Amino acid sequence: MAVIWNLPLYEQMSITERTARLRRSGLGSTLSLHREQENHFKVYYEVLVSQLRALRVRKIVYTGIKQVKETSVLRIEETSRYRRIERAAVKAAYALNLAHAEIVLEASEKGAVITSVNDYPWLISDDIRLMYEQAVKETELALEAEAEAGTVPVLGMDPEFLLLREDRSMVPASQFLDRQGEAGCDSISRDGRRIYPVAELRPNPSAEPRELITHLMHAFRTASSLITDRSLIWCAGGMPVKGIPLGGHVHFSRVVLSFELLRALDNYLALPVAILEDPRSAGRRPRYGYLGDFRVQPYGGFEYRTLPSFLISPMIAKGVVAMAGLIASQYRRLNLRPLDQPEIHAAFYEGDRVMLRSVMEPLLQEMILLPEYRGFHKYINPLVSALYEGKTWDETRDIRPLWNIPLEP
Amino acid sequence: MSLGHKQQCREIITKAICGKGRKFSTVTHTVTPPHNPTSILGAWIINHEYEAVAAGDGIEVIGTYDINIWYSYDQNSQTDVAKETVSYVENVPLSYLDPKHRASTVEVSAESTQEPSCVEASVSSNGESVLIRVEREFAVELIAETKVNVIVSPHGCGDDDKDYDFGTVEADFDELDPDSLDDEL
Repeated sequence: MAVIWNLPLYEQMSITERTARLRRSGLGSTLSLHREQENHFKVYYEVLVSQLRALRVRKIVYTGIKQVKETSVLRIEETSRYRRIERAAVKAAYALNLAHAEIVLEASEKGAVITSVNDYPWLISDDIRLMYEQAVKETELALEAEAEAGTVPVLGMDPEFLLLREDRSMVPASQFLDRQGEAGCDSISRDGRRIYPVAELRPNPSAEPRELITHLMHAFRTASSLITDRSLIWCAGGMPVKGIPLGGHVHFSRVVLSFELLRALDNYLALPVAILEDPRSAGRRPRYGYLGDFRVQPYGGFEYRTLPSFLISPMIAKGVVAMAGLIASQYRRLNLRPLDQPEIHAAFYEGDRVMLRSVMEPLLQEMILLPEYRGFHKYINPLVSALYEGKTWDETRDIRPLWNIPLEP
Repeated sequence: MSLGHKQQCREIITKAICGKGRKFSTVTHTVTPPHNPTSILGAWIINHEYEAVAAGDGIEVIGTYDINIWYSYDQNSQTDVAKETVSYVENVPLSYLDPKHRASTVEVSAESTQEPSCVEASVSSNGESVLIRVEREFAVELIAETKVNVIVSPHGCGDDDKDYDFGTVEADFDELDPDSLDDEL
């Protein structure tokens, strides 16, 4: 029989800390409030979460005379409601360090508000226990199959950059790049209108960090041939222009997305990168780049979305790709989780690099001592050195010279 | 096999989906029933009707629905249903738009992917009206004539499947060396 359990961390957290963790992750919380039945008509969603997905979503309607109506919300491709509810509930469970939970949330004006959490959802009823047992068993089998097959994770990416004039005003990337392709553009919505300010590189994936960086250089070259105005400055990082957050999404396939893999990526990759960030980079969180930000992709893999745009330098890009590959294949042996500590969790969101640096060394040492590190050391060592030297990047600079992209035609 | 001189390219003009968009939104309506409500016993939305019109660089969905509120009054001693028809205009931006489409041939359509539903109804602070929060979602399409490039086969459509290589440039990665890049932060 499958064993369902949560880490003991949640039980040790005070209500104040639970609320703080949810709020830092961008979710509303009324956990600390004593809820009285109001004379309202109100809709809540009760979500059974197990290992980063919803097993069941139910809509609960409370009326002014306490009648309750329950209906199931089904996973139908055509509506985004299920997806939005599932994402908020999974995000809440993850923020609270729960692999399994019943999350109750209400849709508010400002997004999801978490109203209650049950960390023993499998005790609710026998039916629910069976659902959890089956989900846990499925994940165990997938992880066993992965370990037996011994496949190497394949990595991809779609990091972003911006085009600026000398006066720091932005030029939409859509002036030069199409939506699709190896070098394309991406949209943001502003005041209900969609604009395409962000350039995005989509190199071919690879299981080899060196090859993936080669593909990235090729994508840069394609971008360079399309962006014909040489006077424009190319900027990367977390938020080189106020209000325009940039991401560096790493795509993984041939690796099972698990709660522990996501935790390892947050602790061993996102945390060190946050230490190197330009101070203005933290401004993108928590709307973007919150801990454990992932999306399952139609091709079966997933993308890890917590990192800022690592195009800021080849050294960072090489380090990120190599560390992501190492962590994806070895995370079962990487056991430190400093982000479990409230002050470190807070420091990540506040961009408090001094606090984050205090936990950096054991993380790096544990990675370096893995026998497999040897295969990645060339790309990770420079990043580790920069961490020890206490450097931070500067997102105002033009990234072209570092990537050997000609400034002149 | 790469494209030899025998293959020809044609530009054809065809009707195609040239733009797409999707928007989820939450809106609050205020309904004032004939009696001052004590509590809200139910709230639902019916008779949703809508149409799409082209508007600038987006598509506007114009529609109406009826809000029904079952409420109690006189300290929960009596109940009634208040009905109100509301109209709305929702501007849905296009996340994709073919720049080559012929503007004079544009037709637009919208689909309500999630019927408007009430997620909250509460008595307003002055005790006279009811605030209703409604979630709705639309997917829109812009259809127009556009130019499409096609490869014309000189061999017709025989059973003999030719293995065409549609011009994927053999990527030349040999000269790209990640190790040549500076290890600067």
